[in-house]
Order: sequence, then structure tokens, then C-alpha cells
Amino acid sequence: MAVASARPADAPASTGDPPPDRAAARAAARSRQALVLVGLAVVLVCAAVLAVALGSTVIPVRTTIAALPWVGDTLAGWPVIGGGVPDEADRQIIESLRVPRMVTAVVVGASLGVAGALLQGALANPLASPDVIGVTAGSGFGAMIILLAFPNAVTLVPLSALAFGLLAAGLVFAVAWMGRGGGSILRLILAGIAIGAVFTAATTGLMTAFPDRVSTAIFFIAGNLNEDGWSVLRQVWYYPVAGLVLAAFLIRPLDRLALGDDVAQSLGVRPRAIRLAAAAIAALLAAAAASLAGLLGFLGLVVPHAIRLASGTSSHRFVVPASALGGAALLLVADIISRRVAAPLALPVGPFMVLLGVPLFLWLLRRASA
Amino acid sequence: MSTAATRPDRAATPPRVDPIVRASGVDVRLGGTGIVHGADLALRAGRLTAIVGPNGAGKSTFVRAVAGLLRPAGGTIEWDGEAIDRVGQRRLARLRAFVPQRPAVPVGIAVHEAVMIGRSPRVGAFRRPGRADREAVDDALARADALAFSERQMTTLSGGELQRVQLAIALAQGAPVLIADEPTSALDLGATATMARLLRRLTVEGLAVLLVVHDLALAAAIADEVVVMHEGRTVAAGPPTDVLDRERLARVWRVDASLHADADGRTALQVAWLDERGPGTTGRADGPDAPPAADASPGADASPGAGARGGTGAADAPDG
Amino acid sequence: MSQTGRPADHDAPPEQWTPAAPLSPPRTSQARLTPAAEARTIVASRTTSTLATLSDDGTPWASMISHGALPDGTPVIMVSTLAEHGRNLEQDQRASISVVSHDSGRDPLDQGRVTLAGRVERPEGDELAAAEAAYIAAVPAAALFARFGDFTTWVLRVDRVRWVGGFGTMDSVTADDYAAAVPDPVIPGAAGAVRHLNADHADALLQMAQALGGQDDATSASCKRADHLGLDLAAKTPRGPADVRIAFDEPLTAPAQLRAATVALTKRARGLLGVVLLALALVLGAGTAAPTDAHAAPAKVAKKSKKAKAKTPYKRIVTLTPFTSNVVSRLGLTPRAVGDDAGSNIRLHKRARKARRLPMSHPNGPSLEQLIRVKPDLILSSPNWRAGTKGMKSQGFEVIDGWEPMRVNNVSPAVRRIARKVGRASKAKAITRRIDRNLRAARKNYKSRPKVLVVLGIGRATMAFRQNSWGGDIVRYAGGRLLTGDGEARYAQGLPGSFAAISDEQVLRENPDVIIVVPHGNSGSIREAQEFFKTKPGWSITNAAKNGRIHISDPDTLLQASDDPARVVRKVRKSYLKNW
Repeated sequence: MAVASARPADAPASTGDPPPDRAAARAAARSRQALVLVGLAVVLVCAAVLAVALGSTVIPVRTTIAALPWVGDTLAGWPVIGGGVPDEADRQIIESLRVPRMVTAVVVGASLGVAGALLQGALANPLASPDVIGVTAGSGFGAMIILLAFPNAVTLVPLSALAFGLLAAGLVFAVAWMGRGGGSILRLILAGIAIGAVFTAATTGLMTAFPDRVSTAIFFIAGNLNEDGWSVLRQVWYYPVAGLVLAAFLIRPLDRLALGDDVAQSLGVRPRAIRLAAAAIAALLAAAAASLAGLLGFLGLVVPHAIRLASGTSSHRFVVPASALGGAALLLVADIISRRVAAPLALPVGPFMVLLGVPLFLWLLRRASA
Repeated sequence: MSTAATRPDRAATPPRVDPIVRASGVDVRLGGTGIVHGADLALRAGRLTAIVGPNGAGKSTFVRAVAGLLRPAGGTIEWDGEAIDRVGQRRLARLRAFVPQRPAVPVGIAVHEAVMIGRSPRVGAFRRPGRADREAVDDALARADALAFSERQMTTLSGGELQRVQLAIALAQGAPVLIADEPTSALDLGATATMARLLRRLTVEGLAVLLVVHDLALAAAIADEVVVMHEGRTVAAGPPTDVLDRERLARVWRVDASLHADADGRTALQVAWLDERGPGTTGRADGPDAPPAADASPGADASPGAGARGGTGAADAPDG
Repeated sequence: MSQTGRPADHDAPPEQWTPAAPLSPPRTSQARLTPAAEARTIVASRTTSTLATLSDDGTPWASMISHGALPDGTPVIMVSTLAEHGRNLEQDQRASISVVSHDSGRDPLDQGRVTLAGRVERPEGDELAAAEAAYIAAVPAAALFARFGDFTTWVLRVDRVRWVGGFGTMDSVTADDYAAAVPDPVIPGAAGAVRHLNADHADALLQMAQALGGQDDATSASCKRADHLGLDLAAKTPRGPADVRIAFDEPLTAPAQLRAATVALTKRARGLLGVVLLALALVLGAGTAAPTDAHAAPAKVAKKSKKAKAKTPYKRIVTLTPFTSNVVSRLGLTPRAVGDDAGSNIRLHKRARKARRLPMSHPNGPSLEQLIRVKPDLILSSPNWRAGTKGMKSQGFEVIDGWEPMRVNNVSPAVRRIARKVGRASKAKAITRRIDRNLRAARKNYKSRPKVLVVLGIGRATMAFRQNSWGGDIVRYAGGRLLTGDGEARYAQGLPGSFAAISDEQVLRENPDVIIVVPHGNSGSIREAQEFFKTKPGWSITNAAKNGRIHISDPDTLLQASDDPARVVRKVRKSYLKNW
């Protein structure tokens, strides 16, 4: 403490444990974050159970649990939730419709939440969402061209949405990164808007050319979880899973990027490379999500913001995983509502996701500014 | 147990140590335009080097090249005796910390979180920061005198506080070399003085510090060595009072001014602000483009020695 | 007579002749020879024909003769007064010639033939020389007897031409059109090429039928004929036989070009089939390999189970359309559940009314969960709900979505097919007989034949019902003259038949007496359509608008197959055409 004692005026008080007030503040922040995480996890688990129990028809929770593979056997002897006796139809509905649908919702919600968090971090832009890098427009076009121009090839919709979503993002990156001054945020956003406009115009053209078929495409545009069982998930699951795994590698570089390009570089990352990687992984996640559930890009915009507002931190170490949880929970709850509102007919999930997400978001916004 | 106790006292620093960083003949081009031409620099542990020069002289560009943020077009930059392009980003991150001129202010990040991000090069991949890391963050906050507002959001800080947090982020990196690009340019007098004391103390703790400074009086007060840049070239290097003489001020900055330092470490720049005659006639005779060969030579650069002590020793006077 | 359409307006008992409509729009132009060109081709390709004359007592007399033809197609004959026909022509110059095209080994009634009628004249001067030359060119032996005293050279001044191309293809031709037309340069020399195609390239023909002809589910195809504009194929599909027209990219001028032209078509067919799949497969690599297998597997299983079940009667049939619900009910079975399309107002059979209702939404149909609870062993769906078929099949259900009749004359065959499927074949006969009888009765005594335009109103856009649509059939059966606007035909997803965009300008030009608007959408949009189309400014000067004859139909009448088409025809006659 030689220096400190010699210069009482500007010496640090201590380099040991933080004093109680600081510790308390830090603990409060940590417990707030923990509360958000635990809250999201609880909502997610409850929603997952309810999503399996509530569909276009209602199966009692006990029966639902008993019908679940391995979970049913484990919980068989439990009071209250154990001991249900599902019939064959219950089993079939749960195993081949609701569980895959629930898993799809979780994958899509998590993918879009993470995609939004990555993009908002990488582009340092609060308005960034998969729409910004052209993915949504590309995926929309990919699905429309099949639904409208080649309706007999309807099974290709997921792959086409995925392929065109990635194509659009690829074009955006090529335009944004090539030549002098490439890789700037502004250039990426402008390229995204331009390429997105091209695909949106092409989609509109398709819709005017095939007005009689547009009704078949409404579900995709509005965002919808299908009832195709595992088949589509089986086709594309590697893309969202790969995206989510790769996203974990970007958390720390994105945190560094938040301190500015110079500091990030000083800390050993290449800002342009990180930005490209984050945008590419977000594109992969968003395109995969579109191939599974249509256009739900709004989720990617609003969920990371809601997480930041609720938890009080923008640290990617927290926001990225929490956005995955939050996106999954929001989509699951919205999906339950969309299936129950007009039961037994399922409505597209997209509007319900917005109806549910926006009031929540606005409430958080109001609370944060107060 | 305080780390401060083990820091070598400035007075105990051996007069000559091998440079940690050595740059020679560095050329930098930006967008096809040459900005820096054949610039030289050497940084040593426990010494504070200030780069001064008029606007557009290439100070920031040169410093960024030295820090490895820009790729030079020519010349050599060596860190720990190894060419910089062979050091690698990760190792470089452990060798030097860089404080930018206009730092980004992240939204939704608390001060201690930002400093923890600065610590991240020392945290293993996919490892959560441990107790040692948390202590290192607090230590960095303490050394940057930022502990008082460590729980506040970055967006709520004043300019002086923000600059100290940037310093803390750099310190958390735990690098032996600290490079700061005009860390005081946006600060008021008091904040500038605080920052000056902090930086000076870091050299006492053994860091090699490189600053880009506009304020010549400040540079004179805190620097062990001043490097003058003019039109992309390092035209002089040495103890402040030797280098920043009236003739050079006239030639490089084109003002009639003189630097004064008293025994208590107070420095002042006296400027004939409204002198219609402009810079002194001597400067004009030499021509602004011709650097005096002796000043720029490696010889002058490599022998700061005891002479330099005397020049800036005043800054330390209250200490001793 | 348009180049693209060919009348096929037999009042045919459909059990004999029910072509399957294409599943997707044909990808080549449907250009074919005009009836006049067909007639000229037949006359030019043959030298023997049947001559009908009138004997003294006014009775008809038919006899075999040889004929030649002048460049404008005027037949030349040379007959002796020793023969009765020769004497008859001297007495009464009214005559008719019937020429039958080459026998290609098929049903003689499916052969092209042409009947020419008019008066014979003795040519003079240059025409006589030309006529003798033409006759000798056709019948070389005539060089010998041309100058015999008892032989007279006649030319038939054609007044009327009736061409029959085969079963269900026929048209009358004016004398001017007949004279102006040109014989096909390819048909006479194409027989060998057609044989070769059928013998060695059946696979290529099948691919053409599938990819270019829109008969996606064709199982085999053979070439009936090649002309200078294209090929006529006969395809077999699970929905019945189909005629497929494949046009060449460019008209040919000689039979020798056939080979190159068919090779080009084959390449196109193969390319179109693979292009989407291939592109996606290339982009996604491994992604597609697994799913195609995954899709193929359940389909195979479904097929196998279909075979196994073929004999066993179905106990739990779910019918999603009014047509299938009513047919199954009329066959004496009660559907376990019927689809409940909110917009539908077709009366259900009382058996079907008793069945459980499954609410349905576009485009997927009923809730899969409800379906699973019903445990169907057979689901009769339609292209309208095809988007949901994949999900149903993935639950292991047997689904048939291609049997909904798309044309009126497909109704009875569909009834028979469903009856066979559910093991009630014996009951089908009485039902179809009644359908056909009622239909005939509904087509009697037209008080007027107004020009009718039927449009599908999608929002504010309009598409005309074309000849080959359910609604087009109904209107024609109701005695309306259907206007189609001649736009490019398109097959709307889930809607029976084809439609074409039609502009206000085309509507004004065609000036229909009656416009029937079929709103496409939910009940709200139907009300909206009512207000919009009734007072649509672009139509205000048509006869229909002036006379207040723009009708808004309920969506089912003209868009949804009915098991009682006669009732629909009567309704259209009474409510819209007002000619009952």
C-alpha cells in the first residue's frame, strides 16, 4: 500500500473485496438476472407441458405426461401428475403431432431470439433483426415461388425458404463486404435493405401473377407451425443446431465489440470478421426458422430487447442464452393461444406472437424509462 | 497484500532497459495516401512516452500501427523482439492495451462488466471468470480510480469518469504496455490532472505507457520522453524540455512559444497568440520539412539516459 | 375457330368417354391443326373415297370411287356413265364425298374422316386440264381411261365440310376456310416415326405427358399422331385416360424434321422434371438426400396398405367434400365424419348430415388431432385440401385427394371409382344412370342462349372460367355461350379447371349478356364482392350491366363439384341464364 498511503488524494480505497454497498449492488444485479433466467425457464417448461397438453383438442395434463416417451414411465408413480392412462389416439396425437410441434416452436423461437441478439450486437444497431440482412425477404420469396408457381412441389417449401434465405443473406454480404470500405455497418444495412427490396418486389410480383393461390401462402407469410410431425424438422434440424452452437463462440467477441472496434481489436478480435460471422450465423438461424415456421422475424427484433430491459444488462453472455429461452417461451405460449382460440382449427402463430410480445415489450419499456 | 507494494518504485527503475516495443522506418498508407513516413519509436518498461505534433501529423495513425491495429506499408515493428505480424492477435492482446480517442459507450453495460470484458483475454475460452479475475477487475478499477462508480451504467458517466473506465478496461487486460490516443482531449482541467496522475502512476508501477498528447505543457509534465511528429515523420525524440524548444515549436507548430517548467513540476506554455509575424525566423530559414538529423537519429532516441530524468523529474517532485 | 381450342361438346354418356383433366397447366402451347387443315390433310392423303349421289327416284346411292384434288382442295372425280353414280351425276349434280384417313390399326371410329358436300360441275379450259392432271396424279391408271368416251371429269364445288377427328373431336368448316387451308406436310410421312416412338421411346413419351402435358400422374403414354405442329399422345392416368397435346417449339415443314423435334421435346421434358429438385438438391447437398427418402418411405407403406385393404370394406370413412360425402352416403354408407367448410352451402345427404362435422380451414383442411380421434381408415379429400394430405399420410391414413370431379362429365366415373373403392360397385350403376338421365333432362328446351362470362372474383381481380372448368361446363350445359377472354389458361391450386386473367377491356369487347361472379374467399369478402362487382364501373356498358344481369353466385354452385350436377344446371338456368 506504499503508493496509496503516499497519495491519499487519488489512491484507490482497496484492491480486495468490494465494499458492502458495491457488493450489494452487484448481488442485486445478479439476482435480477437470475430471476429473469429462472422466470423464463419456468415459463418455458410450463409452456412446453401445456403445449403438449393443449392442442386443437384437450388432453388432461396427467394423461399427457403419461403419454410422453420416457417421461411418462419416470413419473408414473407420482401423486397428482402421475398415473394417467392415455389411449391410442392420445398417444398418437402427442407423439406425432404435439411433441414435434413443441420442439419446432422451441427451436424456431430460440433460433430467432439468438439471431436477433447476434445481429443487434454485431451491427450495434437496436433495430437490427433478420429482416435487416435480407433473410426474411429471401425466405419469403423462396417459399412463395414454390407455393405460388409450383404448388405441386409443396414439400420443397422448407428447403426453398432455407436456400433463398441464405442466398439473400449471401448477396447482402457479398455487396457489403466487397471493395473498399467493405464491412462497415452502414454498408451492410443499406445492402440488406436493397437486396431485401429486390426479393420483396419479386414476391409481390409472384402474388399478383397468381392471385388465386395467394390464400395458400397466408400461413407462411403470417408465420405458422405446421403439423407435419417430425418430417420437416428431420430435414433441416442441423441448420438451427449448428447455428446455436456457433453462436456460443461469438458471445465473448460480441461483448468485446460492444466496447468499440478499437478496444475489441486491442482485446484480440477482428471486428470485421466477427461482424461477418455473427451476421452469417444469424442468417443461418433465421433462414432455418423461416423454413420451419414461416416469417416470424419480429420475434428476433423484440425478444433481445425485452431481455435487456428485463435484466438490465446488455452483456451478450447473458442476453444471447436468455434470448434463446425467451424466444422459445414466447413462441410456445403464442402457439398454445393460436391453437386454442379457434379450436379445433389452428390459426397462424405469428399474429398471436405479436399480440403477446408487444404489450409485454411496451410494459418493459415503460418500466425501464420510469 | 497489495500489488502496489511490489511495484518497482520509479526511482529504482534502472536507467537502461531493452525496449519492449521498437518501431523503425514505419510507413503507413491509408486508402492509398501515405500518412506516416519512416517513423521510429521505442517503448520501455516504467517509462512514459508522449507523441506530440500538430493536427494531421500522423500521430494517431502511427500509434495505431505500433499497437497492431493498422498494418504498416513498410518498416519494422517489433514486440518483445518479434515482428508484429508474427505475434498474433491473442498474444498481442496480452502484450498491449489500447485506449481509443473516442471510445464507444455501450448501452446496458455496467462499468464493472465492461472492465470484465477487458479482462477476457486472460480468461480461458468458455470459462466463467473466477475469483482471480474478479479481483483483477477490482484492482484495475482501483488503479484507474473508477471503483466509486463501478456499479453504474456506462451511459451515465461523465467524460472524465468514462475515460478512467477506459483506462480500467485497458488495465484489466494486464498488458505491460498501455497505449492511449489522446486520453485527455475531451476532459476539463481537473479531470485532465487526475488522468495525468493516474498515467504517471502506472509508469511507476512498471508499465510502458505511450500517449498521443496535444497539450504540450501536459506532455512536458508527465512524459519521460517526447517524440515529435511532423508531416508523417518523427522529427525529434528526447526529454521534453530538450525537444520542445522554442525553435522547434516555431518550425513544427508555426507559433512563437516557449515551454517553462519549474522545480515543483508545474509546466506552462507561453504563446504569442496574436503575433502577426508568425513563427520565428529561424524556423523559416531551416524550412519546416527538414528535420534536424541529430534529433531524429536513433542515437538520440536510444540514449535518453539520466538527462531525460532531469527534464521530467520535476513531475515526481511531490513524491520524493 | 381458335387455334388452341377444339370443340369437344359431345353429350357423351360419360362412362364411355371421360378424359382426365391435366393436373398442372400444360407447358407447351396447345397449337393444333385447324379443322379445315385437318379436312384438307385427309382429302390430300387418300385417293379412295365414298361418293354419295341421288338416283332418279331421289333415293341416296353410295359407291366407292377414286378422287384427286385441285390445289384449293376441290375434289376431282372421273366416273363412267356405265356406273350408276355416273348416271346419277348427269341427272342431279348434288353430291357428297366421304374420305377416311389412313387406317392406323386403331378403332375405325377413332379415325379422322371428312365429309364434303356440294354440287359437281364439269370443269372447262385450264381447269379441265388441271383437274385431269390432278386425277391422273392421284390415280395413275386413269391416264389410260381418261379419254374414254363414257368417262366424265367432275369437280365437286364444296359447300359444306364436316370433319370428324375421332371420338369427340369434330367441327364444321366453311367452304372458304376449307379452300384457304393447307394440307399438313408431316402427317402423310409420319406413320413410321410414330411407330418408332411407340416401340422404342415409350419412356420419353411418358415424360412428355407428365412434364409438358401436365398429366403429372400419367403411368403410360403412346403417340397417336404426329403433325407439323406437334404430337398427339394418349396417356393413361389413375384418374382415367387423357388426351395430351404436345406442340413443337417450331412448326415443321417435312416429316424428316420429326426426329430432331421430338428429341428437343424429350430434353425439355426431362429438364423440367428435374430442374427444381436438382437445383435445391445442389444448394442444400446432404439436406435433401435424407428427406426424399423419408418422404418416399411412408408413401410406399401407404401403397402397400392400400393393396392389402383393397378387398376389405372400409368402416371409418371420412369425407371432406360435399361431393364425396354425398356419394358415400348415396352408396349406402355413413361417413364417420364429414368436412365442414364454413363457406359451403351444398345440401348434404341425410346420412352425411348425421355424421360428425370436422371444421376445416384453408388450406390444410381439418384439424389433424380431430382426425386422429376419428381414426379413419379412408379419407376422401380433394385437391382443394391437398396441402393437408402430407400431414394426414404421415399419420398413416389412406388419403385419396384426386378423385373429386373437375368436370361435369367426370362425375359419374368418380362415383363409380368411389363405389369400387368402398366395395359398393353394384350400387353405382343406378346412381350414375340417374345422374346422367337428370343431366340430359336439364339440358332440354333452351329458351335462349345468352353469352355468359363467369369470373372468379379474387379481391378486386377477376379471372375468367375457361371451357375446361366445372363452372364452364355447368354454364354450357345450361345453354349459355361461355366467353373466356382468351387469356392464358392457368390451373388454380385446389380449384377445378382452369382460369385466365381477364381485363375490363376484354369484358367490354366480348360484351356478355350475363356475368356471373364467383367470389373467392370468406363470407365477408363475398358481401364485399356483391357491392363491388354489381356496380363495377369498367363493366357498366356491357349488356349484362345494362340489363341488370350481373349475378353474384354463391361460391359452391360453380366452383365445387356436386353429385347432382343436373340440379346445379337447373339452378343456373333459372337464376342466372333465365332460359328454363
